[in-house]
Amino acid sequence: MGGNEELWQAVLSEIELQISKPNFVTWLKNSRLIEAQEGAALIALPNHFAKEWVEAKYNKLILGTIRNHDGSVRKIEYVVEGTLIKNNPKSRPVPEGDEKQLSFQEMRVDPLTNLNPRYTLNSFVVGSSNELAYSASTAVVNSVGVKYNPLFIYGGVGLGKTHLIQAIGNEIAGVYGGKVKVKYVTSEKFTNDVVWALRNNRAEDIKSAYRLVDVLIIDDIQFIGGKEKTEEEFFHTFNALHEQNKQIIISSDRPPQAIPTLEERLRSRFGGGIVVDISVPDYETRVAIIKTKLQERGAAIGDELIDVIAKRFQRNIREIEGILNKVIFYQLNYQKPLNLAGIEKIIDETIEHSKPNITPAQIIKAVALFFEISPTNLIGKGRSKEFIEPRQITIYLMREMLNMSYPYIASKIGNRDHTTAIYSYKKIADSVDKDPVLSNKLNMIKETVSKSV
Amino acid sequence: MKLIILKNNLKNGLDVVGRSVGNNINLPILGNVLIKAENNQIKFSTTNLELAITKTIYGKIVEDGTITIPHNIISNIVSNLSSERVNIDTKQQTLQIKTDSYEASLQSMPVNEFPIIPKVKETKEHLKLNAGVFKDGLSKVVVAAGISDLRPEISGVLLIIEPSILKLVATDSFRLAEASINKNQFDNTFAEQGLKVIIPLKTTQELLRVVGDDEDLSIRIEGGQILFQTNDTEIVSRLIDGKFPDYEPIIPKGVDTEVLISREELTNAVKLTGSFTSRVSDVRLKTKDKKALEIYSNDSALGENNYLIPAKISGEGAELAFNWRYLLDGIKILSGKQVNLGLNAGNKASLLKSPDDASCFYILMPIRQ
Repeated sequence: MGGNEELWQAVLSEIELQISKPNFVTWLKNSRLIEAQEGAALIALPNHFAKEWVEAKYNKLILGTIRNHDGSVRKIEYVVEGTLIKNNPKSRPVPEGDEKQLSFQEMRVDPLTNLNPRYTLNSFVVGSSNELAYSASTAVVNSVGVKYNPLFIYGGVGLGKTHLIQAIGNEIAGVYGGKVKVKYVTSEKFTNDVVWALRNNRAEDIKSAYRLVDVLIIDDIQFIGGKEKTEEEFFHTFNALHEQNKQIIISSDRPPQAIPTLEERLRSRFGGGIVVDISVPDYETRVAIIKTKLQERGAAIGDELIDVIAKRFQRNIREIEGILNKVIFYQLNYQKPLNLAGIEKIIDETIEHSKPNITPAQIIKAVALFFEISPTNLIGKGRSKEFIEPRQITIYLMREMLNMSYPYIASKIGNRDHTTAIYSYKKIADSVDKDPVLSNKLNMIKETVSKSV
Repeated sequence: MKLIILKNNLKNGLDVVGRSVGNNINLPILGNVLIKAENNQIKFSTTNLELAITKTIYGKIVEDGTITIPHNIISNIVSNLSSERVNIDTKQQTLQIKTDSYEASLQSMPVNEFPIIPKVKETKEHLKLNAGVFKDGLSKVVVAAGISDLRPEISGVLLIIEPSILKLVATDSFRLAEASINKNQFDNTFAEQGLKVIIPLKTTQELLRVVGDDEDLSIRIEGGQILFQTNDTEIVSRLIDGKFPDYEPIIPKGVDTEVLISREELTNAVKLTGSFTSRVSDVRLKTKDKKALEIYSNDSALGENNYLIPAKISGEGAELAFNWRYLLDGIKILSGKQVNLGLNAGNKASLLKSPDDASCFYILMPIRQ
C-alpha cells in the first residue's frame, strides 16, 4: 500500500511539471493508485469527467511516467471512486439551529461515524477553564495522529467533554472528507461489542470494526476500569492504532491516575500523549454559554436574569440548559418576561427537585464512612490531622449540596464558630479544581449520599 | 461552422443548458457552452463536472463545425436581440453573430479543452415513462430533501426501482416524503432484484426545470452515473455514493388520532397562523370534541390567532406543535379535496396522506412542547 502511494506521488510530481496547473488541480489532484500488478496499473479518479479526460488526454503521459519508475507496467485502467472528492473544508452545523424541532431518531447520528452532527467546534464556548482542551483539540484536527496522540480529556459532569470530542470528530470528517475514517463510541458500547464478540466467538469482528479506523474516539473511558476482557481488548486496539499513528481521543470524568480499577499498562499509555482537563467554567464563560444557548434556541432573556443563572449554577452546564428550557417555556406560556423573583423561584424548584431530602446527618454519615472514622469524631473536638480534612469536606458538602447557612453548618459540626465554617468551605472550594484526588473523593462521597436517600 | 437559428430556439437552448454552467477558477472553460453542428443536429452542452446537460435545437446547418464560447456572453446577446433570425458563423477563433442590424464577434476557446462529457452506455436495462409522471413524483418529494455537506446521503432523492413499482424518497431527518409510481405507468427492463440510487438534489431540480411534461423520458444507470434522456435533452449526472438511511422503521405503524379535514381550509389555516409564529416557526394543532381542529399560534411580540376547521376526528384527543413550513410542504404535495392527518403524541412522527390517493405520503416530526 505504502509503495503504491509513494510511486503515485513520484509520478504526480513529474506530471505536475508537464501540464498546466489548472489542469493538474482539476483532473489529477484527487487521484490514487490502487494497485500495480501484473503489468496493469489501476488508478482511481474522483469523477467520471476526470476519468474521461485523463483517459483521453493524459494516458500516454501517465503510462510513460509510471514506466520510468516501474518498467513492468504496460497498461493503465481507470476507475471512479466517489470518496476521493474532497468536501469543502468547512463544517456546517445542522441547518436548523433550533433544537426544538425533533428529528427522526434513526437518522440523528451518522451511522458510519456514530457522531452527532450537532456538536461543532464553532458552537463550543471557549473560556479559561477549557482553553487548553480546546487548543489541543484544534491541534489534533490540524495534524491528525501526529501531534497529541492520544488526546485525553477529563472533567466533571456536564462540562462539555462529549461536545468537544464529538466536535473534533465532526471537524475531522468535514475537513478530510471520506479520506479519514472516524469512529465514536462510548466505552459502554465498546464493552458491549467485546462481550458480544466473546460470546459469539467473533473476536475478528471487533478487530475489523475498531482497528481499521483512522480516528477512534472513546467517551467515558472510566467505565471500562475493572472489566478485564474489555480492558485487554482495548489495550490491543489502542496499541494497534497507536503504532500506525492513528489518532485516539479519550474522555473521562477523571485523570488516568485517578481511575482506580484501570490496569497500570493502560494508565501509562493514556498519559503518553497529552492529558488536558476541562474544569468548571468561570462566570464570564458561563454567561457566554448561556447567551450561545439562547441564540441556538432563538430566544432572549434579560441580562440580569442571565446574571442570576450564571451565578446560581456554577458547576454544571447541563443544569444551565435545563433551567433555560424552563425559562423559555415560562416566557412562551405566560407571554411576559420573567422577573427576578420569578427566576429565583424556578431555580429553587429545580434545585429542590434534584436534591430530594438530603439531611445534614446523611452527609456526616457518608463522610465518616468514606474516611472510616466515627461520626462522633468527625464532628467532635479532636484536632488531629485525620479529622481535619473530613470535617472540612463535610462543611463544604453541607454548603454545596444543601445550601445551608454558615452559622447553621457550624452548629451541626460540634457547635463551632461560623467563621470556621466559612474558612473550611473556602479552603475546599479553592483546592477542588486544582486537586483531582480531592475532587474524586468529593464525587464518591456525593454518590454515597445520593444513594442513601 | 455556419448556422441559421430562430432567436427563440437559440434562447431556449441556451436557457436549458444555462444552469449546469460551471464556475471554477481553475477551469474557466466550464463557464462555456459547447456548440456542435453535425449529422443535421445542433447541440448545446454545458457541464459543472457533476452534471452535464446537452440540448438539441432546431435550426438550419449550412456547414458543420464545433466551437466553445462563454455562456453568459452569448446568452446576454441573444436575450437582447430584436430580430427573429440569427446567423451564426465561425471565423478562425471567433464566433460571429449576425442579424439584420447587429453584428458581434466573440473570442472562442480551443474546443479540445472543453471537458469530455461522460457517456452512459447503451445498456439493456432502462426505464421508460412519461416525463410528466416522473416529474410529478419528483416534485412531491424534493421539498423534503436535506442540504448538508456532512450528510451527502440525504442531500438527494432516493430512487428505488422494483419490477412492479418505482419509489422516490427524500428526507432531511425532520420530515420524509415518499411518492410511488405504479407499474402500469412505466416500462422497466432492470433486473428482478431491483436497484436503489441516490440522485443529487441539484440534478433533480434541473430535471424538473428542463424537461417538458409530455415528453417520453428514458433513464439509464451505469457505473455511478445516471442518464435522463428525452427527444432533445440529455442530462448526465453523477450519483451520490452512500447509503440512504433505512426509512421503513420511521413510517408510523399506527396513529393515536386520525383527522380528516379539508385540504384547502387546512392550507389557509396553516398559512394564516404561520404569520404569527415565534422564531421556532411553531403552529399548534388541537382537536376539539372530535368535531373540529383548532390551529393556533402566538408570539409574545406580535399577538396570537386561531383558526377553527370542522373535521372528522377519531381516536384520542391531541395537541401538537409543528414547524408551519414543514407542515405546509406536506399538505401541498398531497392531492385531493381532503387530507388525512395521522397524529401521534409523545414526540413521535405524524403521518400525512390523502384519503383517495395512496401514491404519496409525508412524515413529519413535531416541535418539542
